[in-house]
Amino acid sequence: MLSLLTFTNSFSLRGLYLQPNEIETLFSAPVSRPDLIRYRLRSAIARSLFGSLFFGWMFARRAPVPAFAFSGAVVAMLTLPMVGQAFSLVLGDAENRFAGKLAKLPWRVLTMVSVFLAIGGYFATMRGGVLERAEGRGFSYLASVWAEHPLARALRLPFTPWVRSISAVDLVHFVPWFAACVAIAIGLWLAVPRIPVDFRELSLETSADVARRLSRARRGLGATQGSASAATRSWRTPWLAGRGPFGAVAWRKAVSILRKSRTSFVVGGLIVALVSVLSVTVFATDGRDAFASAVFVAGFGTFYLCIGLRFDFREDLELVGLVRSWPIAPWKVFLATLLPETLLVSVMITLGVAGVAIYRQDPDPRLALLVAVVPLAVLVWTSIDNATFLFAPVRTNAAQDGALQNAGRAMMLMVMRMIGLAIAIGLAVIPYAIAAFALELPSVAAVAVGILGGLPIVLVEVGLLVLAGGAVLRRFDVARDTP
Amino acid sequence: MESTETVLDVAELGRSYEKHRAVDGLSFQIRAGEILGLVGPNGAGKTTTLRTIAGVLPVKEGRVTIGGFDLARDEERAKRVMRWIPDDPQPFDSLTVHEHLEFTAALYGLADWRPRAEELLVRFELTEKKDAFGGELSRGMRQKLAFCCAWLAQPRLVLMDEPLSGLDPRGIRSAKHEIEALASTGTAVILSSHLLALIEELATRLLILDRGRNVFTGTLDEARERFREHAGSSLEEIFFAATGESGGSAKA
Repeated sequence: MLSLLTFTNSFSLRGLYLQPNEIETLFSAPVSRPDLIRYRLRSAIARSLFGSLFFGWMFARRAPVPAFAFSGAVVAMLTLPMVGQAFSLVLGDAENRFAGKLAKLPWRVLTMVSVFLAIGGYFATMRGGVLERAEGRGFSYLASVWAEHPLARALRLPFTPWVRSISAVDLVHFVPWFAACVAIAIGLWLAVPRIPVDFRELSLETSADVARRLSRARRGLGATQGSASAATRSWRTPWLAGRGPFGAVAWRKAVSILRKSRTSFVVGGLIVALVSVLSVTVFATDGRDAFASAVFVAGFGTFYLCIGLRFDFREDLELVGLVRSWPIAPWKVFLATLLPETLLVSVMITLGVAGVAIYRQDPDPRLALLVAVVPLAVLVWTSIDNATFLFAPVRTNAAQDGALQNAGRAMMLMVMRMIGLAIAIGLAVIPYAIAAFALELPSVAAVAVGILGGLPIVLVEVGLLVLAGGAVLRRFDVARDTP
Repeated sequence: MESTETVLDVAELGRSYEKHRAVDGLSFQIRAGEILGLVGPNGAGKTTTLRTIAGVLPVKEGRVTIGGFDLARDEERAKRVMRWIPDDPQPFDSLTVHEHLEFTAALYGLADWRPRAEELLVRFELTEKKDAFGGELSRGMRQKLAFCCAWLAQPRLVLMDEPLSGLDPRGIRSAKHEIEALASTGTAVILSSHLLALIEELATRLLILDRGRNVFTGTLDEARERFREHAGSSLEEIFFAATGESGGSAKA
């Protein structure tokens, strides 16, 4: 698996990956290209050291001779970066030579390998009543059958020296294989820097690619991560919230969403459609009405779309300085920024709910109430989510300095979000709880009390959350760099 | 068209970053139609001062009054009469050039903005780019777009941080002309730049900052008079003389 990851990673890091400042300094310095590769290999091996010790310890716990397993695993793990670098150089060079023809080849190879594995696994499972024999023995039996398939054995063949070293039971079996592993590692260390590839242009492209990916990652999981499509240049977005400062902020966000997130729309729409179909087919049981299915669509849709279609402050963090110079109160900026996402999610869910009602031919009046509640629920969640984000914007990236600390901070903030959501929901259901459990009113009356009492509470919550979001936006310190 | 009307009044402005004092008790005024050249060495506090006046950074110490409105207490009205052009303007990547003007007009509540927008696009040579997305513009084009947006409503105060960076020679000449033209209509301009020749050419008054402090405020002639015994008559020599004596107050 690690070899596969190394292989696929080498597709994306073609040539020699160096950070932009390293490229400017090292490429113009009197340093030979083999020395640059050795520098990169040293860094990669040093980064693998801790992981190799960990994996060595893991293998040692299960192997017949722990010392052999530990040594074999460590050497294997330290060899992987060199293999990956060799792939990066060779594949990158091939791509350069054959222009676009090879650009998609690695993925085609991977797809073909996956298909072969799937077919091989299928036949290995179906042949000779394996499934019948597997009954009662569990997945481990099936895995052992797959592992013994000739295709699997062929795929494992290149890994023989390391596997034999790790699983050796005595010195006689260990020494030759381990010596082969060490020889391969030394051979790669000597050979990889001598691969005759001029990687400079590839490195520039790779560095720019990685910078773009990091930039997108810094914006979090927002849906508007792409750039505006040229085809949308002539699109006119309606000014739904008027032509004042508030309307301008909302309009700007809506334009951004419509021009940059068409794929996200399609995916989001498909998911809602799929959930709607599932709610009236697979999950439906006799006697359930359209309302139950619609609640499922609204609940899942709100949850999924709020995470999947995130058009919020994450993508505007670099603009907060500019936003602060605008003649509009921060709470209005906060609300106007979140409004387009709220509307979009609500419209999609409404369409899903309408689809359910039409399919069930059940125009239940409660559906209208459900549709009315969805925008408030979306606004409550996006307000909590964004206020927390602006309070302490954490944007972690792979291999970023301090990523571990950020991971802990991000987790704490997620806990804060969940606590906020729990409090919001808890307060909103208080009237219903009192009516149903304390006063023991009949079901219909309890629901009515719940709605009449709960809606004003949710409205107050939305108001308070928007004010809180504005306060957080106001105190957001643009003078401080955010990770 | 200078007048006696004070557009910006900064009193005892201060700002610290942890232990570093970026702006220290800064006070100055600017009147309508004036172009105030803000100069100082790196780290003198120029950008922090401008960003605080622009409302990007909160006013933590002192008071900023723009057009008679206190920036801390009457923020929206103060910002409505002011425009801020940062050193590297970043337009919205998914709005076209023309939509930036449409957005600005709505943000500042402008009616009948279209004729003026068309005129500005012509003046800043952006007509051919009016359907280009903000993300497609070069550095110089972004700067020109920022000028267009700032000029659109004829503000009472414009703050500019290194406004000519990224512009080609033709753009520089045009921008200088436009800045002077804007000031002649009564707009007060604060121009922060390391290009002393630009300041010398355009500024009607100088504000020299060093380590967050005001070491000189006055006209170029007053500066020449003040630093006569230390230096010659060019702004460059005045600048070195003023910032070399940062310990003493040299207000004219």
